[in-house]
Amino acid sequence: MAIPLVELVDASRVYDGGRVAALRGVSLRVEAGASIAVVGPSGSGKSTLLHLLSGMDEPSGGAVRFEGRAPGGPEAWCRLRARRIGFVFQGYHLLPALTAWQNVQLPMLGVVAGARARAERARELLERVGLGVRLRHLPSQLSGGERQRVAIARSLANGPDLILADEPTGNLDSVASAEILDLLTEVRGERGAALVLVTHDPAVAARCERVVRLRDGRVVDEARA
Amino acid sequence: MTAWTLPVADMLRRPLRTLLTAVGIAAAVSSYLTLVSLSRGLELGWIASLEGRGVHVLALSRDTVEVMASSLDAALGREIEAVPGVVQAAGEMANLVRFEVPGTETLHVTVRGWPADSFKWRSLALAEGRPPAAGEASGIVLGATLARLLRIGIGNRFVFRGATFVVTGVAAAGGVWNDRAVFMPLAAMQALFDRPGQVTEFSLQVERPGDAAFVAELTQDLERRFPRLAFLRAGEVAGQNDVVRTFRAFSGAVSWVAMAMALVIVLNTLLMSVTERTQEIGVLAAVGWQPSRVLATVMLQGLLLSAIGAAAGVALGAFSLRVVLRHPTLGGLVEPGLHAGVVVETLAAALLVGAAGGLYPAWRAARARPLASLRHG
Repeated sequence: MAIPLVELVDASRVYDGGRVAALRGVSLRVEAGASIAVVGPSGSGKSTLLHLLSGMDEPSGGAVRFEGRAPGGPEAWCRLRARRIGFVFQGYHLLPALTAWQNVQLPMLGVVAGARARAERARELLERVGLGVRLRHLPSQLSGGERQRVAIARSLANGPDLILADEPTGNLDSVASAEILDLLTEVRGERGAALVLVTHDPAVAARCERVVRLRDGRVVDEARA
Repeated sequence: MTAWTLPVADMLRRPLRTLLTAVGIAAAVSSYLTLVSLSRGLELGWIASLEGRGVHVLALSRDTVEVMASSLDAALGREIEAVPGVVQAAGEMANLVRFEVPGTETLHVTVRGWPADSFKWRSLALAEGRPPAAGEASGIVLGATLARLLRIGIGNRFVFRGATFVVTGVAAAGGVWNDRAVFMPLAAMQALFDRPGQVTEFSLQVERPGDAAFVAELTQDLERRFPRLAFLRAGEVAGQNDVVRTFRAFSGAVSWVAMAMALVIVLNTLLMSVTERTQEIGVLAAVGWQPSRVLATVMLQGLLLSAIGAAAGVALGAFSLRVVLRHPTLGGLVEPGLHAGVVVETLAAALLVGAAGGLYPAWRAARARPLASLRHG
């Protein structure tokens, strides 16, 4: 069996000294180029799962492996997030003092050498997500859908192998949601990156190859869409 | 986008806070620059006054705090001159007096009395006129600034402490002390201040003044022979003087308090900024910024704030130094002007303050965990 890009092995995450369990013994393999939707009711552990896959949180038990190995400490996960993992948040999390163009360049500092190269790549990415004319706009001057496009462009900044999206359409209307979903699907296809997407929306989940259903911190169902 | 973009963007986002922080730093830097310049200018004024008179080594009473208050037997000069390596030991009486200039201001003027055969008369650069001739007890030379302020010149009468003198020359020796000095025959000054047969110091010319080893060996020899006297090279005199040391210690202490205040200002501003931006710092960690890069970004902001404050502070300091030197006492003792070394020292101190003030906020930002920070606020 091929080594997955990233996997959770019997991973659990508890809080408050064990009184609250967000994840209970979850195993999940994410192969290179795969697209997986993680669905489930609120509090089922979907976001926690995504945080473990990105190394932004650590499991209380079990393991998270990237290409078959545990990356090690927070700094190793930082390097992975900089070069191999792109993250799209529900709340966009763009830096308000920076323009769209600068926000997209943010992950490239220390990774892509040369200010001109970073600027050019960010321009290409923003053009790709349809914001070529909004380069110098601040997040406050953009609509919700446009902000999420900037966030997607940012997640692609360093050509990641894995894109993690935490309810990327959660704050958007249906038209903007459809556009963002199309965009994510397209850029994933173009770049051959794996996509793990957390969503409440069955229509969104249906766009992925696999759907993993969580309830009370456990995988209760896994199906091919 | 470069490493500067984020710190600059944050500073522009809060312009009033940035401005107030820079003003606070500028005030501290200005105080530092003014005080250190005054202290350094006092030393330089003294050094310039000695160098302008061709003095290689100065002999002073070892246990006297203030040189002008010391009292030495003028006859000691002959004994010092007899030591091999000494060319001449010229006795000098010096005093600092308050002098009323009608219609303008009260000046503090240095009065110096030299024997007619002292090398100092020959070394003293004159803009015009001549030194008093031997036996010409009423002849005096005025410093150029003093002559200008008094509006008198060659041949004019000059009344001082009830005695009448005639101006024979105007000195252009350079240095603020010389420019406001009165130079007169030693005997006349001893009579004027009721100190017959006394001098306050001896100025020595030595055989090889440029040979540091020779001068050091000679001064050691002189100190063995004259244990009650201290022999100091011209450049060391100001630094060894207790009055200058006290002033330097005072100005040093006050200026560092000012810098400590600047440090607290930077610390406070950056701490506020980092706390406000907790979520943004979480985003930086989430997109893969290493803690070291987060730390460097916050530190850079501290350095930028300090650099802006320092630049404004140097300009403000230069202005306040000019204002302070209008004071008659300081104006007559402190060599005016900003000295490059002091400016460099001030800028370095300001940047050090910026780095030190940014250290704790930067450390806090760097150790933030991405998830906890993203959930903040």
